[in-house]
Amino acid sequence: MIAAAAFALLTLALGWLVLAPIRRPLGAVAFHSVAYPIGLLSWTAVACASALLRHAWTWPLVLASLTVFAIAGFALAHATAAPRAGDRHLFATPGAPKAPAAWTYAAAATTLAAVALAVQASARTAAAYDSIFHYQSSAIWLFDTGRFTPAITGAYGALIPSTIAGNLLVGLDWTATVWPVLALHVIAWVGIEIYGASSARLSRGIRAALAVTLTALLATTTPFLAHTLYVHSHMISACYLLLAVLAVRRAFWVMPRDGGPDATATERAWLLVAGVATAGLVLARPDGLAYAFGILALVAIARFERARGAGTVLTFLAGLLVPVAAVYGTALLRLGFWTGPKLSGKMTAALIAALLLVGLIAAFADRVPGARGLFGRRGVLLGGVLAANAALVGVMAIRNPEGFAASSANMIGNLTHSGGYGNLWYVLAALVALSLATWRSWTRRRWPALMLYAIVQFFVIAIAVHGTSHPGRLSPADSFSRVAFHAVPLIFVYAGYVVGGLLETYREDRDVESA
Amino acid sequence: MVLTVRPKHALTRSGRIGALAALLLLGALAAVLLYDVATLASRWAFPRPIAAAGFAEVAGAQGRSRTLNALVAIAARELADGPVESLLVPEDRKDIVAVEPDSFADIEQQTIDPRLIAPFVGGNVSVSAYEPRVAASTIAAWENQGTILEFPRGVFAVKADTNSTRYMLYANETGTALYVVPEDLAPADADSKAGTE
Repeated sequence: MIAAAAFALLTLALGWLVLAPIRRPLGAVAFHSVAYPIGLLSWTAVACASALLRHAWTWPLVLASLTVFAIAGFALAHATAAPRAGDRHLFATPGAPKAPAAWTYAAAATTLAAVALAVQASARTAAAYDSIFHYQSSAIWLFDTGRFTPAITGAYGALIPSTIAGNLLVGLDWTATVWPVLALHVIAWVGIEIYGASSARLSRGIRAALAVTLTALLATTTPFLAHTLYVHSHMISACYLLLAVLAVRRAFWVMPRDGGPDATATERAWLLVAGVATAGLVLARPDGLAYAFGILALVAIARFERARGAGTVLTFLAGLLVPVAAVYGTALLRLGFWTGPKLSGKMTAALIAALLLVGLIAAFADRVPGARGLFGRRGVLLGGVLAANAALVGVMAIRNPEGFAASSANMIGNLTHSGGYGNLWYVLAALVALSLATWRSWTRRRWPALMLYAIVQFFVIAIAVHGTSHPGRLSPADSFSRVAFHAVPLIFVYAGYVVGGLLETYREDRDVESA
Repeated sequence: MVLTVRPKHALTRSGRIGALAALLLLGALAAVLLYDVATLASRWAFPRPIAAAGFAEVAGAQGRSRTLNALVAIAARELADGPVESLLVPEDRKDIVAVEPDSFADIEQQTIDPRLIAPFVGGNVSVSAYEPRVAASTIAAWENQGTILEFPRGVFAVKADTNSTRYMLYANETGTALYVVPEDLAPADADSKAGTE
């Protein structure tokens, strides 16, 4: 049991070290709550080191590579996102985040250790064929041999086998704690976001009640309960996707900026978090690279709509590409251009290069004469991206109408009756429809539109990934059916915006009429 | 005189009623989710939670026949106390275990598969032509020569005081038990391992 707490605390500490340069702009709650998911990426660094040295996982190797990870991560955060002389005054203003106090470290560590111990003591877990023959077997292989395989890099992603290998190192031959711990992170972030995003016109009690109600509903949905224990890629992916999207909002919509030409410290800090969270998404599943384009598009749209500098996109790119390039660079070095049914070496290299290219375009497009005015107009880039998405789906449908129809039927069938979701997707679809019908009644800010875009973008990518590879099947085990869960926490946050906005409208109008 | 500046998004009374109606509808949607929670156990379609402290228990609880490969690997690792130098599995494995084979996309899968065992033991799994079925007397002899370690789903490991770091896979006559055995303890009539692939 102690081993579970030791792994959790070591991971948390690594996250703290990497995030230390940006702890102040993040604030105590965010700093502590993102440290564990960021720290999980450290285990891929061990995998890289063991693969480069062709060495089994031993304590000296692991400690050395974790040290390198911590130093490199600290340097990256310091170089790209740490407060600079020009924006230090921001933190002297009232309400600005302060450096986390010592007791908050103790509280975060105690909470995490207690959760890990409780989960380990309960011995609750859920496993299927994939859990054993994909993740556990890859982890044991990695641990024993220190070698990547095409299956690890191309079929399952390096993050989960590396994480499980880390648990093997501390003496746990089955990893059960990571999933519930990440589920609690998701619940915490959804609650904090819904509470914080609601207008101050609503009383704290109402905001708290709203946050608690929606997070309780999320936590008791069948897929959330299942993926809290199920040793697979889904809770991890949902966690990183949620963190990446919420970090973009924090970067562009929450903190005041100082009016400087480049990104402020807070923007940079959150964009680095968004980038690293997207790297987690990439390394958790072979299709993660595709979803990274969606987050990059969100950053680009937000950067142009909020008239921010190229530094915003570059910071995000650094956070995303450094961990991804480290893992896939090692794999390419050791395996060459591996082949595989899901993600080949050549496709991996091409997608990473494309991410870099699109990112650089997003960073510097406004330096083209006339482009700044065009992209800066609200809705132009968002409309363009949505049109591109519609075109993508249209092309898929035209190129292979029968295959597209078959896979679409299975996708819809799984969400509505065969995927084990109960009524969840009926409710979520009705919620989105209702939000669109009452759009002007509850939206006061731009962000909900971009949040809805992020959800739509997720599904377009999921349809592109799953609709082109195989038709799928009517089953809870169908790949698209399971992947759809990744967007569920985002939709609950969106629900929080809708209900919060409607409550605000009701209260505001009542107050105006009674004045 | 107090001037009240009405926000552009502020509604009329009917708008307020609209917001209230929308909130009530959202409440109804939440009630649907609560109904789902109440009926959750009866329509659970995901892997069922189990209480299992270790990998062997998890593999033992997983329903697929091919999970036996993981249990064989766990047994071999237990004997080797880590990665295995060599594990031989019989060439003819079709009927080695008396379980219904898994089927994917209507294609029957061989239950004992060296490719599925290999990643769990460091990769050193070979196929060899030998008779995998052993008589009850042989199993009784193993019990006298060492300790029989039991794993879930009828998988056993024979832990004996031998110098062998190479292991072989055997089954009882009915195919209901699999034994991972140090090569030194292999039946004398076992075929030569010269045919190892």
